[in-house]
Amino acid sequence: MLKKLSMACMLCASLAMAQGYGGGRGRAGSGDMDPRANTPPSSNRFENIATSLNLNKDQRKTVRTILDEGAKEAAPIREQMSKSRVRVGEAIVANKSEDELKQVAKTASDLNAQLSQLEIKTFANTYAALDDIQKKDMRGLGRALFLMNGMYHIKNWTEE
Amino acid sequence: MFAKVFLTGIAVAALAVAQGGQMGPGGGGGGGRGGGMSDPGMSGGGVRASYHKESQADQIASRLKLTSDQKTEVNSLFEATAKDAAPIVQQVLKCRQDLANALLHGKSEAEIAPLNQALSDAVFQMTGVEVKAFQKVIALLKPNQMSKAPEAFDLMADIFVQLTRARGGWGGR
Repeated sequence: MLKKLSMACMLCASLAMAQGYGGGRGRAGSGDMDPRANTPPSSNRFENIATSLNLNKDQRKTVRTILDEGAKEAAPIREQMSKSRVRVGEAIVANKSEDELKQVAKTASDLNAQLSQLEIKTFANTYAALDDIQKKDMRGLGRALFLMNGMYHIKNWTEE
Repeated sequence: MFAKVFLTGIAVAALAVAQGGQMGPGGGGGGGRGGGMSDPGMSGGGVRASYHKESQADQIASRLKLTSDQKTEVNSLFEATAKDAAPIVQQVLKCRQDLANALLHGKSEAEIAPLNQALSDAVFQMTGVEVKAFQKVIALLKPNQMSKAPEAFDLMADIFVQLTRARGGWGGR
């Protein structure tokens, strides 16, 4: 049983890899039966996430709220990170010592990591809003996780 | 047990998607601020990152008021660095996936803490790569281009992750 499940997972992964990004992008000649395969690409990250996860109307509202709340939480961290990175830039320009540089770089990088952690926490919250079928769609989940990478590192998280 | 196997599958699928890389006809989406310069005369990921009004490299170039020759040099530098940084980019991605799996799996705080630490360490390594690359950028600048340099470093955040992605995969292809 375990072997079968592992194989199924690997198959899904292989499909995703073989088709590149695949579903949702309408790759010509893919023969993809997934209705998302014919969805035109969007410059709106939320639309891409919603399409990847095949969200219904109610779920779209819920997930949108989850992502917006994450963005609110991210805003002050991103602002701090930006200031912190400018300080790193100043240290580089001023040719500061390796130790001084490491210290300011660590502060900036910890803030960056915090944003990444927040993105992943938001992914987990989104997962909780899915139904059983959606939770089993590994390709969609993988895509959503991919789409959420870096989303709170920019001011407007919906922008691709 | 099923959940464990399933979540492992998500990780593998996410990695596969990431390695497949393309987000749209132009590729390169899903990330923060896009990758390479969009000057059609240059190599790099800018053309692929079609969703972005202006790529990170373009923003840096305009912030520093780079000349055409400097843009070419900086672009080559970024491309080479992105290639060299591929293992670190992969490490960042793996840490993200491990953390996502742990959260979906309802792991305890004690189990999640080392995963957060691993992610922080990987991101710090990535920042180190950015610092080294930026030191090389600075060396190309004229004195009158230095005033905005610190701001340009802010614009470089995660540029090599995005550039690697825009080029079509974590390992390049």
